[in-house]
Amino acid sequence: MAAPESGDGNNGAARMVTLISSDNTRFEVEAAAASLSQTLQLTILDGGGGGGDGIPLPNVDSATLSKVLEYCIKHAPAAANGGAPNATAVDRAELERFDNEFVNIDQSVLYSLIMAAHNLEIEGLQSLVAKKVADMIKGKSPMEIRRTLGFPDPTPEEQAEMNAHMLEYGWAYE
Amino acid sequence: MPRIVRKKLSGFRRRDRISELPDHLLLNILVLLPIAEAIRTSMLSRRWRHVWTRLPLLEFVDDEEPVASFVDLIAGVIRGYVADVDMPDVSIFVDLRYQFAEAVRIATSAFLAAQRVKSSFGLVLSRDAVNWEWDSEEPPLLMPCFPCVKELVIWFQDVELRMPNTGTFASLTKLSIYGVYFTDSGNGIGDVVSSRCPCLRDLELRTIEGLKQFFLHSTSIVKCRLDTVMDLELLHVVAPNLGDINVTKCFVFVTGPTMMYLQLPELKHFHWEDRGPDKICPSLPSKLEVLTVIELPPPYLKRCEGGNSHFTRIMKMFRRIDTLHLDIRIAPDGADQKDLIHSTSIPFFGELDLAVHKNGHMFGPTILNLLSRRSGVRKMSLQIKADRVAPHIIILPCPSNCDCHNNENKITWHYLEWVVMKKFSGTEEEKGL
Repeated sequence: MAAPESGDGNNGAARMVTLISSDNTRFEVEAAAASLSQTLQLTILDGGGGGGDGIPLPNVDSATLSKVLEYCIKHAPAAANGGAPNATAVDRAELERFDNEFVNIDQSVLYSLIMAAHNLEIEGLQSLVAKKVADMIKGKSPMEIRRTLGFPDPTPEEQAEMNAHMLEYGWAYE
Repeated sequence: MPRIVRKKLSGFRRRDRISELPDHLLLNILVLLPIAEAIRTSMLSRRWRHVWTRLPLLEFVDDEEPVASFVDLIAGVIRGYVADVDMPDVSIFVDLRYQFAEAVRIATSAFLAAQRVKSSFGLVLSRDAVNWEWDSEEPPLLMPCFPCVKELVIWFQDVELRMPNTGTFASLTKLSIYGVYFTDSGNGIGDVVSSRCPCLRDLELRTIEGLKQFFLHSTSIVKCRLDTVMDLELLHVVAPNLGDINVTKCFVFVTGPTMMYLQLPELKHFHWEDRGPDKICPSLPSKLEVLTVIELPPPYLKRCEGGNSHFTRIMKMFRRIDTLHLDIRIAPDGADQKDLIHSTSIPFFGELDLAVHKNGHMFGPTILNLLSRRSGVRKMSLQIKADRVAPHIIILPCPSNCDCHNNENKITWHYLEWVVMKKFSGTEEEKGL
């Protein structure tokens, strides 16, 4: 089927699009879910991604993309309703539970997600991951922040620099 | 030897990956933190040292900032913010309790940003932020000029605000000042808004003391709201593009003579909830789109001579009104009500939205009297309200010659298309109407 279908079609089945990760893995996903990405939405509206074509995403590897799509599939129904208005409290609680669990992941995946959410312009995912990292920093001492974010323990020179810096920025501390 | 081992190990040590993110994505994270905590990330490494100096929003909330001195934090951030870009929106919210002089220092350190903020600047001290009991020192707050800012909000209860003598607020479109007092009778604020805000469109002054004479002469201004400007004796507005003005509870606080001079050829919406000034010099369009007149609540009416707020003086400034919103209290012996019934200079109106506080009086005849003289009314809605009356207060029955019984007029509404009545409780009188 070379010609792109227009819209969702009336044949009952939702329109599917194919996304291709940087390591050449193909993901088939509902157009509605992929359209959470502002970047993809335009291509999809133009009829791209259908049939055998696929949309290449050279900046997103397959591990990250599968994670991104997990988010999009979960959030697509609520987004289709224009967000909150029709959602019941139960639906919202379920999405919140999903979100909390979703970001409970290894930090390297988290940072890949930050990049991917930015490149694909997925607003909800961008704020979700940014908030997760902010929460990791919040309320911690400098050493705790370093450890949480995976910084190596400072060398003596680095420690001296840190001390000097903390003196200079004394007004930002208690 | 240990040194080499260390180096070798460090090659295998897990590197932080967050530092690989570009600055703008790190800033998306830092902007979610209290500012002090965002700044502390600059100790992580050289990579992080200057990231915070480009925070896209500077919102200081004192009870969220874990620092020894809120004043020093604000000053430190404003001084340390990178010089080669516009400073973003600055807002300062103060909720904790400070000595008066300390609160003024907070505001003053926030004003360090005055020259650099481009879009909006807000300083909001909550009502509880100043502890009056400890402090006898009450220094004034010197407001600097904000040459580039577009929106400016200052909210500082009971501080003396001194306006800058020089400088132009060249980009300012919206100015809101709450809670302050002036010691110059209002010359400073009048001079600033009239002569040094060439783009000002929207002005709001609320809970202001010491502003006795307010001159607002501006070609740019389109909307003005004065609410509880408590010492207002003279309001002098000359504004060829002003379309919307709201005066609420200003003149009612003044016991001496009051005057209002309005030259507003483009006026469309007028909202009034105040005592009518003793002298009014209007130069207004003959037809207004919406006039809203709300009678003052009883505690304010008591401040007016004879309990009359003279709201009909405001109505008489206009000849024709598209929509009249009138919220009145039935007081049959009151001058305003007599005026409403008998005066010939009440304007013509096309739509009437009437709310009546009946206060135990017959209200039907008064309404009928008002309406009977305006046969061109197309739409009207009527709502009956009751002032909450304490049980021990007895409402005196009105005398038999009271206007509220005078019901000889017959109404003919030739053009009436649409009537809504709300909150009728079904008393006989209401049914009769």
